[in-house]
Amino acid sequence: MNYIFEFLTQSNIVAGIIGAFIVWIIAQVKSVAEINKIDKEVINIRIFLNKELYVLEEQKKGHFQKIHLYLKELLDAIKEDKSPNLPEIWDKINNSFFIDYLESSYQIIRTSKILFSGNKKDMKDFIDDELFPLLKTSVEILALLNDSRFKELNRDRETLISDTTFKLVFRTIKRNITIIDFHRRKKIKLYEEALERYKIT
Amino acid sequence: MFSNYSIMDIQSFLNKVRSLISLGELRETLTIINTLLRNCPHLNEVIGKDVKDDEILAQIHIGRLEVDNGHLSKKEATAKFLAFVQIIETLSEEHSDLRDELNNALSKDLKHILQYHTGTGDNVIGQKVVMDTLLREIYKELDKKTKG
Repeated sequence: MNYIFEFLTQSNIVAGIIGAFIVWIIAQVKSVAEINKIDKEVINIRIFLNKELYVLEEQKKGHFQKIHLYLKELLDAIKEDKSPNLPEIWDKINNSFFIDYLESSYQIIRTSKILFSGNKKDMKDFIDDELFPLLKTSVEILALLNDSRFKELNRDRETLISDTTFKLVFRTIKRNITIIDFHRRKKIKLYEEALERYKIT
Repeated sequence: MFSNYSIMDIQSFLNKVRSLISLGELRETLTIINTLLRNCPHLNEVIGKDVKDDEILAQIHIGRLEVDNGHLSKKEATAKFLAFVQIIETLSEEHSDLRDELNNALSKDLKHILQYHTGTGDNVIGQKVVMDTLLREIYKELDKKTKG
């Protein structure tokens, strides 16, 4: 009798262990499947963002080329003494720069921040290849639009920026560089100083 | 450095060149120094004599310096460029004729020199060149009109 009871008890324990093991195996398989699913989703999101970024970059290139066209128009107008045309061309450059070029640049920044999050190297490349050139172009365009001699021919027009105009750019750079990255910090300071003169006071 | 089109004094010019060096834009700096010396023949001659015993400084003087070529590191080149700027500064402080020549060049021929050598350009090289060329032309025309 005892033998039978012992056998049944042992069988239950063994069955319990086997059951628990099977449950554990199922859980593991499930976890792996879930992780794979999440990985696939992350990959899909990255592919989507990459495509999105490509489209945005193409758009930005288009806006940049449009600014080139207007600059050419401006050059011809100055050369040919067509002063009456200058305000209109000035407006075109101004609008194209603020509405198209800067806006598409900001969209690129927002997308890149998600795409490159956690990837310090890519983010630094993005800062060097996109953000600093963006600041340089911006300083050059603002310098042109506010040039005193140009204003003279253009009936005293000027364009100004606010404290928030380049906030996203500077914030993105500052948050992604170390405190001892003196090279990039120096560049930031130079661009901040260069843009300061165009701020609304 | 980026948009100052007013007449530049020697000190601010040299400071801007130093900023450019510190940003690591040595190729651009070499072009600027070379252009500067081409427009200041007397200064060019005096510096030529001053740097003839230093191989690197002499190469900067003639505008033929290759950085990061295995023989010269960027750090060493940066130090040499800063030394070269220091020589220009010292000479302009010590010799009034050189100072006048430099001032004259900066107020006329070199007014826009730093504008077009500011280092990081647009990330699309071709577009950067187009942009720089157009801006240079526009400023040249604006100069003509306002002087006229």
